[in-house]
Amino acid sequence: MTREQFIAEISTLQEPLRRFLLGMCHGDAFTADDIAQDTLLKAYLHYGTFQGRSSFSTWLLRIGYNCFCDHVGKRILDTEPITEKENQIPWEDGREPDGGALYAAIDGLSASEKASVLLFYMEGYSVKEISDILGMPSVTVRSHLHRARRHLKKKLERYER
Amino acid sequence: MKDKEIRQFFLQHKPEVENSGPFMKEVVRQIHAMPVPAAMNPDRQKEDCIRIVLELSRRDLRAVRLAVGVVVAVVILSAVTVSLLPPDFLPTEFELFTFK
Repeated sequence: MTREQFIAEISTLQEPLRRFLLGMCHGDAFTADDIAQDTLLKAYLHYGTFQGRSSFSTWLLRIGYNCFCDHVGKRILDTEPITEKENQIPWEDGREPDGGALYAAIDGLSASEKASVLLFYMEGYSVKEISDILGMPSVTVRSHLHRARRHLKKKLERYER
Repeated sequence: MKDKEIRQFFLQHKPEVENSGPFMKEVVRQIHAMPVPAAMNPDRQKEDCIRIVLELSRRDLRAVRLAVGVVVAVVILSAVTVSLLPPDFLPTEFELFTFK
């Protein structure tokens, strides 16, 4: 793959990557785009490590998830508190920003559960592909999805009322 | 709530990704500012192909040299063995050239 082919490839994949990271960052578009940019540049520089065992999109999302984990780790080290605004359920305030219902629905899930749910329901990846992206066994992904489903059921019933 | 309904909810409420144009423009600008990785360099790929061909031909040459060496060693060993045999064991000149 040449540089131009790589650019063409990431042009089509940047949208699902950014959407996934936007979900992971609870709608913080600035942070999500920052991580997405970091992801794409890392993928470019380490293209030689792509062995083609998984699809290119899976490989890219894996880098994206690792970049997100690095970012979250940094934030925890920086001990930045979660603000009240970040913790607020949008529709309780009467206003529902773009994707707000979704962010509130996945609120309370762990990072890997959130990632599993977003990839499975929003991006339509299979359990096998998600296990490749998150670097964990399929059984763990299934248990994450099972736990997340119970959580979503409660949240979404509340949302429908 | 079924799996299908959860999926529907996610698809209905998935966040919109904005500013794809400026985002990609910036990524492309940064990519062009970076060196081309070896795996993407077409010249490097050609060099790798040439290196592989040269290595293979070198390996072939090595095999030919080894075969010639073995043949030479066998000939020398035979000559030494023959020269060390007792004189009466060797065929006479007459026996050697008359093909009895």
